[in-house]
Amino acid sequence: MAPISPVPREARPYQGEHAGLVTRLLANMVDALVCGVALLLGYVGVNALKFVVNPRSFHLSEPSVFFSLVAATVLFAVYTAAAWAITGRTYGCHVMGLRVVGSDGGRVHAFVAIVRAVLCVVLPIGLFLCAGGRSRRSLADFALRTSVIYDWSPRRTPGLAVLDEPGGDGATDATGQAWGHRGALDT
Amino acid sequence: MQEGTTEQPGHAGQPIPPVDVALDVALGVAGVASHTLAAAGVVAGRLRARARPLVEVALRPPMVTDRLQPATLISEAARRGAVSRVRLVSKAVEAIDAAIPSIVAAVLRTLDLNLIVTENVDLDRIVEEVDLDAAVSRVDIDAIAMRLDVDAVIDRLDLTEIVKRRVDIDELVATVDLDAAAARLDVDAVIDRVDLVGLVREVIAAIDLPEIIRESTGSVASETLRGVRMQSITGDDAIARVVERMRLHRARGGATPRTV
Repeated sequence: MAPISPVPREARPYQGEHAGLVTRLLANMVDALVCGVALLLGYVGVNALKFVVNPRSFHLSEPSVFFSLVAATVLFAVYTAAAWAITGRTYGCHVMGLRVVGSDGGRVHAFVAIVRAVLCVVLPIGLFLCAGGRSRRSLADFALRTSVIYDWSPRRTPGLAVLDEPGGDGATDATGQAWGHRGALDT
Repeated sequence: MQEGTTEQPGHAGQPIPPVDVALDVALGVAGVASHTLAAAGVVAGRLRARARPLVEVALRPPMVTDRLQPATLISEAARRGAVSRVRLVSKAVEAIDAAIPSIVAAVLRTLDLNLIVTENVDLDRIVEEVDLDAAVSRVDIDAIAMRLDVDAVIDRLDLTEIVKRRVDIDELVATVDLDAAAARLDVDAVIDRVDLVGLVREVIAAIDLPEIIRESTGSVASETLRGVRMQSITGDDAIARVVERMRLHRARGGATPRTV
């Protein structure tokens, strides 16, 4: 029996393929925005609390740049690790229709999610490794054998295999083998 | 005349087998003897009438007791002879009864009765003369039918083929009150046996209902998001192609031999 897919028809061929740089960058930007908003709300909340406790001597706290960066980094790492371990996707991944999966196509382990989050935060430049090649893997994906795939379904699609075989009408690599567009890119 | 043959008067030149000649002679002698005996019988009949008184005196002489008279002795001898004859006949019958089966069996072994009957008996004529209707009327067909293994007979029949060839099913169905039959149906039980959920899912998947709903009720935000996603996928592919082209260019440049 054919499954009922909530995914639009034009996007169905891409489901299970490895995501590329643009989509992942946009997802990270959304996540960064979420973390920024969360930090801003936290800042406002802390100052509001200070105002309620001692309104006479209230003045806006002025955290140092270092503290702000550390707080943002920690918050981003915790947020992404929790999201990948619990649902397999952050809010940015949800918006862009991505999902982080393990080598078996399932949800990543909590420890793997934590290490991946730390690697992404410490070496964000590693994301650009997924720009091209037959493998669209970032540094963290290479290290932990994880993948980021297109998955527009609201919930994890059972049986959605990670497409590893190249094919379709894409370009050819150095060996002259066709890959890209329809086919998956081996990550 | 040839040797060993004779000719009959009026049939000159026709040879007669010796066996027939001997038979003719025997028949002739027998005819003469029979005439002689007949003549002797007539003579004896006349003599007996004249000699009867003398025979009676000889058989019943006077002055002789009954026990010693010749007639009494002859009667006694006749009675004993009759008893002996009965005993002998009985023994002969027993002996014949004992011998007949083996004799008949031996004879039957030498004969081909089927051939004899086939060649000599007109069976069709005999059967024509038999009143088969009367014979059949005396047969208890019910008793014969009771001994029949009807199941075995039915097993050998292709009832489906027989019904297809001989039964007008359309006409038969036309006589059935289908409405009444449908009224007796337990529709709920039928529905319980149907996988309605699976059926509905199959129909929804076949008509792609989610796509229909999406196209008819999609909001601007969802359309925008879908566009952003598709554009980002296109961007992924574009960047991947650029990177691959660069790698390919670098690989070709490195492999090109330098010429002086």
